[in-house]
Amino acid sequence: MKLLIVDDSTLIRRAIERFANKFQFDEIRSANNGANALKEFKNFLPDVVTMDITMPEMDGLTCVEAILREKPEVQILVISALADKSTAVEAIKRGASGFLLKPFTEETLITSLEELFEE
Amino acid sequence: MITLHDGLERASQFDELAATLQLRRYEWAFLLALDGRTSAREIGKSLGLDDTTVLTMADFFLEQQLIVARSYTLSEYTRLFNVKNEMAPASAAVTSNGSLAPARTGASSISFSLKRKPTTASTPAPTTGPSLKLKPIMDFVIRHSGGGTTGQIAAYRVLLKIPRPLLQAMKIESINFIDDNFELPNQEAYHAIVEGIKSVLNVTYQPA
Amino acid sequence: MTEKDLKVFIDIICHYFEKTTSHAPELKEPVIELNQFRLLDYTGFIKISGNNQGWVYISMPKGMLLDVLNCMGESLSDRSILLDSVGEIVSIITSNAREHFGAQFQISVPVTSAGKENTPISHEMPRFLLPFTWREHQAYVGIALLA
Repeated sequence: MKLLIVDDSTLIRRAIERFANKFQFDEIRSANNGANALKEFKNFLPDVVTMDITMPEMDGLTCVEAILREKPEVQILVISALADKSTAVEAIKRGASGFLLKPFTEETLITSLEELFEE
Repeated sequence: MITLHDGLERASQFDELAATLQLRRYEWAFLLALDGRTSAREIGKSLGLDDTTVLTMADFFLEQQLIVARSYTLSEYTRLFNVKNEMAPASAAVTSNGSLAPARTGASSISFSLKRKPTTASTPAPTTGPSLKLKPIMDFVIRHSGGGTTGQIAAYRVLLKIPRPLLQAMKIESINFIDDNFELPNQEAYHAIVEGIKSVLNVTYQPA
Repeated sequence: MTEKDLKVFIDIICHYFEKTTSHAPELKEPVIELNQFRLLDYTGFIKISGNNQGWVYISMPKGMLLDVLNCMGESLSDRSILLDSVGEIVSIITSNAREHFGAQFQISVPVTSAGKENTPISHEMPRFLLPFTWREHQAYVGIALLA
């Protein structure tokens, strides 16, 4: 199992990596915006992606669609602070498997990832 | 500096400058509605524009030398705006025995003007305007909006209505720590705040 | 901005610190500030547009940011992670406000600065400051609206 973490914040990328270690991913990589994530995705072909929405260059929702065109079976957890319901609905509409609101804790991230694997 | 009450008109070089401009639809509508008489606010209102948009736009046009703020002679002013000469005791005056004298007619106003000595025209009349102290004004705002945090928000909203250059000229650091004796720099600042209070709280500021 | 709008920000700030650090902040009386900025060591700014236009920012002393990072289990403490963190904090707080203001409340990616002078906001713009203390530190959340 491989995980790609996409977020423009180093703090968040490092926090997700620390918390996700519980799942013993074979490899974890990260990208700091949608455009870099797409490049990284094509080389890395991960099974799971965590995706921020508000990022420079390419936003997360556009990136979700692009990634799913490359590998439709990938599980994408959108992690965003945009708290209006329409954002979460839009993420799911574009093909994300789950939505987690920032700020998150280790516990809420693990629960969200577990739900993703159950699917 | 333009105020919302100014009558604006297109500058003499308007046609020449306008030929090179690309403006938004409402900006052209505003420019073409200027008649030198109707206030910027009234024109803005007729186009559905808020005060801030009108002021920002008018300041920009002034800077681009597309418009000028119209000034008037006394006779132009009284004629154009159909007002009586307020410098004369036009509407009512207190007589020596303390009773109210009957209102004068428009014709009397003109005769008053003619009677003035030529030297008095250049001598500024003593100003007996309202107190320029800021503290009582902001206390009024806070009191009228319920005090506490709500009052602070109302005070903030009033400040947002004041043109930025005026606000900067006030040299205030913080509204919460205004010295009792702090005074506004001029009447323009005072009137901008009073107008802001009217706009935000829908009440007319009454000095204590 | 109404009192209800302000309460939204206050609740979000409290929720953010409680959730990420398990320590609740204590809000102080708001201050309206003009001209001179009251900035601390690290500040994160977010430009907002839509019905409300202007900026939201959070300014924190270095010691507070280091304590926050420590509570979150972050071991890095260099200038780069401090700037990144203050930007992420203001981004989360402002983005969370969309639940109240709706999707028309548009936000930019954060702009961050170190030092007490650098700000993308004009000094002429009045700011509504919400001072708060978190543990022994004092910080500010500022809201600067255009109109």
